[in-house]
Amino acid sequence: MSEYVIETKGLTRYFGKTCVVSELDLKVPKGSIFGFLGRNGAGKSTTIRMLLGMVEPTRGSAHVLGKNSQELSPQDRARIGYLPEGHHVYGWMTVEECGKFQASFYPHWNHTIFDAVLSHFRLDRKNKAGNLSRGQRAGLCLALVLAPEPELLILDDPALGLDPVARRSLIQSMLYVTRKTDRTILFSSHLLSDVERVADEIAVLDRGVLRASCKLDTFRSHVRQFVIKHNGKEPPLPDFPGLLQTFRTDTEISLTFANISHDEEHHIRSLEVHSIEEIQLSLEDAFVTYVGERGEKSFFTKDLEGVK
Amino acid sequence: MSLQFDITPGSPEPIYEQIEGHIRRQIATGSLVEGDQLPPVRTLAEQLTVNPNTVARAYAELTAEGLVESRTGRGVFVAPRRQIFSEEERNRRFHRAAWRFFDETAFLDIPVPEMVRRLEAAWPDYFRKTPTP
Amino acid sequence: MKALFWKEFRENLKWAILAMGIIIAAMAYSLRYNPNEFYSFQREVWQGLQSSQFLMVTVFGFPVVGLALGFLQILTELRRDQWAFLVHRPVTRKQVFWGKAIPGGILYLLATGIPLAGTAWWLATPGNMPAPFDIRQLLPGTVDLLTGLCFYFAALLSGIIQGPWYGRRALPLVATCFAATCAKVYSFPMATSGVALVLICILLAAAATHGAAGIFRRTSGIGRAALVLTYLFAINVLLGWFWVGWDIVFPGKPYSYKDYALFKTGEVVVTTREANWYKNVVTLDGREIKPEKSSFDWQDFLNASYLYLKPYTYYSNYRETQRLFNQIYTNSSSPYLWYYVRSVGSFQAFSMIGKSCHGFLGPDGFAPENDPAKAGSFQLLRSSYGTDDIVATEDGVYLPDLNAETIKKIFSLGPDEKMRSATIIYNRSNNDAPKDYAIATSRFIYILPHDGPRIQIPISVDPEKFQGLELYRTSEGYTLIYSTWWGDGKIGPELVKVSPQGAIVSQTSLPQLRQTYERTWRMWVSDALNPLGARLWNQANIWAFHGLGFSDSTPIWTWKAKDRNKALIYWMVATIVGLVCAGAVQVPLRRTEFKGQRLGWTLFVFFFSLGGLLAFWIANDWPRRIACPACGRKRSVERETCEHCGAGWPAPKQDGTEIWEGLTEEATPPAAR
Repeated sequence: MSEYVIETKGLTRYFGKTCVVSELDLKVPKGSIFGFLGRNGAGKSTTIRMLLGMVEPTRGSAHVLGKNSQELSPQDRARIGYLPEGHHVYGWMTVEECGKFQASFYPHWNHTIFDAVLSHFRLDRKNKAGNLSRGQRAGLCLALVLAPEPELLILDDPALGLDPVARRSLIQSMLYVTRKTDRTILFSSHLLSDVERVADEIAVLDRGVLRASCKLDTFRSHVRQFVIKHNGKEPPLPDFPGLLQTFRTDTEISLTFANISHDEEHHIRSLEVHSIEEIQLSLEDAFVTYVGERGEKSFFTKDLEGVK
Repeated sequence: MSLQFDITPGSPEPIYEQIEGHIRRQIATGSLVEGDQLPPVRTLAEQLTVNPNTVARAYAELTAEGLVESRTGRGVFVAPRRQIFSEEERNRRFHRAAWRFFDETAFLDIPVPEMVRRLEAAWPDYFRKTPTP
Repeated sequence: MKALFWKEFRENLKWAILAMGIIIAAMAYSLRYNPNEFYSFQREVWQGLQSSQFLMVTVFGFPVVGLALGFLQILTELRRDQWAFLVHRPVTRKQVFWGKAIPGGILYLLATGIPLAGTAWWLATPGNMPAPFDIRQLLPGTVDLLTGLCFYFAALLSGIIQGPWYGRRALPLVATCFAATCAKVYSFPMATSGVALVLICILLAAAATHGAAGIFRRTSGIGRAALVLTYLFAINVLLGWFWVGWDIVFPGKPYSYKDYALFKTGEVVVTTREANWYKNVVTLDGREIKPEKSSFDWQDFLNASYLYLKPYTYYSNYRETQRLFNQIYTNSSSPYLWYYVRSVGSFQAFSMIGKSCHGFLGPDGFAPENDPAKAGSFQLLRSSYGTDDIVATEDGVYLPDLNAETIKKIFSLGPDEKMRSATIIYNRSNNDAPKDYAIATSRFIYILPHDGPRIQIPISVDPEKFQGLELYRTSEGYTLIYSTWWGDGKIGPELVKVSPQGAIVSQTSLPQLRQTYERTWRMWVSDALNPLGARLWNQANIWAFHGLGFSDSTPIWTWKAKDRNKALIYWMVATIVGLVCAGAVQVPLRRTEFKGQRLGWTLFVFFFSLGGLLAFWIANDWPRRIACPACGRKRSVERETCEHCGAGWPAPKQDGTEIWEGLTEEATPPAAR
């Protein structure tokens, strides 16, 4: 078996004329916690659904656990845990019945894990699933998806709508899963602080195109921001290929780069200005700059100034 | 043994640097002394709710700095104190720290000699109790 | 699977119970019975399971229940993430489908079958309905039950198919209307096999389409065939609706019908009727008779007594009670309702108050309710009892008096004589006057005047030759016209004049009337569009059902050469249209995705011409085609290489801001491939 649990080649999906996922080459190493990032509508869910064989790729292929994702057998599915967006459960079942229902499908069902997750989320087994809070429902879903001890866990925005406590429990569960080194988690999220806590690797999908796939730290160290202070006279700046964003005030220019080369950095540092400083970006800032609008940036509020 | 501190995701400082900083400070202040064992990577990761690889990286950086050493099969221990940085590196690190210091203090209108005096006075305190970050 | 069954039962039980409640209420309403109103709007309630009100419930109610249960089961769950939760588990898609279809189908059958069986049981219990009950009355409801099952599976199918609502997904629902049409065919075996065919098609299509997650290309061969056939049914229905709409918007000339009749003067005339009204009246020598008033009406003609020769049950629909029993309209002041019950072979009376059986009246007289054998039995030859008051049976003619509960034999057959038919000769001027009767046997036509001796006309009636026999009473005696109603031309219409004593005065052959059956271009078009496949299928059906004795039509190869050649022109047109369509379909079939299916599709389109083309177009997925970045011509987005220039797809544009884990490592950007 290959060291990648998920491997896609030129994975592409059109909805009508729009290409929502374009030529995706994604590789998720075994044993990693893989953060799948991107703005809303970037194609994350579609990709995940293609990986699980629920959406047919327009072209290209996806292999999950070494199997073509369009031909997953029930046995393969038993090895993949999937938590769909929105934490769906059947509201008329009790928590207990949910577990029984789910357990009846799986050849392997770890009651200890199921019970542990339930108690972690303080779930009453007699409760109707429809009466649970969002966080409790997420806990139930997580219990259902963890109890079969899948080799690969795919979580589609699991933190959506959860309070901080439930989120923390979620992250702890994710870390718990990867105690065994051959377990892999792919999850999508908009909460960068969670991603920062748990992800080894991230992939950034921007309008259907993969723009980054690397270790989390690599991503952070490749997005760099420099603030140039000058006395009102802007120094001449060449066209930097990796320039993501420029932000100007009267006496300052802030430049954010991806993949800045040594020569370019040297060029900036040798500008004859008042001061040049590198600002360390948080993951969230780095991500926002990375997938945000390119080029000259102004405050959103500035656009609103014309509005009465 | 356990280490008591919290990390702040979402800050400009990466989590592994935060862990590194905390351990470095505890060694500097004497909370951790030579021969103390650091918690296993997985334990600390679960305590802090972070990815074990992040903790491992912090330990690796500390090992590279010579503050801790890993003994095969037994764990990671605080190393005997020695200076492993070059003169140039030490200067660079000091410079960076000084700039951070000045960022905070430049507008307090405390003259430099006074600052030096106060720093000298605060130095023993730093070792007496674990400062709040 | 068990868990899936349990889930579906649990989720849909409430809907099934609700549906059952509605059906029970509707059935109860349709069978409400009030003796005071019995002769007005509840005219048919005695037909029980076959009354038109009850069949309204089964014809419309069952499909609505099937459709509703199907949609409630599939649409509520098709929301993206909920569906993903259901589907992503260690089961196959097929198991998911059967996990839905088996409990859902059972719930549907319970929701409709329990009320149906319950009603049957209630009606079969004496004292609930003043009418006889026969278990075969369940047949129409059962066929409708199957039709409703078609709707249920069509809903499951329509839910999963990927495609626009107005096209691909709605068509299975339209196809079910084909089943509904089949259910109304008069012969039970034909109706059942038609419904079963549609049901099997839709069920196979639904199972296979669910197995392929709604994608036609990945559906199994049988599933594809079933789905395409389903579309073909739907197209057929749509075409039918189209022509119906067409005829409403552009009504053609009203249908006109020519017939021989006797004018009130006794003269033989040819009447032309249009929309059931007399348009003109011409004598045999071509002179047109003008109406005295603004137009002719029935009083201008002599009344015919029809001596029908077709057997009693010949044309009765399995949905109607004729084959089983018939109500006899008696004096409305009578406390009893009378029926002729075929299985008993006698008249049976039910009390309107107690709603229970009162007794039987057979050839041997009246028998009480507990001893029907005492009444004896006779088999009616004709269905016209209610209007004629006499009973023609195989051994003679009886005149029952239901109110008095007595019976009298008025005619006995001679040796070697076979009964054909009997009827009343009307006396228009006085309805209550004593009646005369006409009786046709294999040897003579008898007339039994009320006031004189029996008249014997030497015409032997052979049901093989006679298609119909009309008898008129004129001032000079009797006039008979026996004609070939079905246009088959075995013998021409004959006019026979008979003296009052029964001697044949004259016998002339009348010219065969050519119905001016005007073929409009719309008929021509719809006939020419009827594809070869449908024609062959139709002939096969006729052959099979004729052979089994269920159908009157005969296959085309048994027709006379003249008629056959005329029909074969349309067959040729259909062949040519089929060939043109098969040629046209070669254009899309050139695409590589049709490799291995070309012969199948070509044959299909040849046999089903335009409808086949349409089904082919609707069923298949047509990948979006966009301009090739290399050569600019349109290419399929699904193919890796361009059909025209062979170029692959370009990697997404890179601008140097992409971050990879070291360009030399595995996670190589597409640009570096």
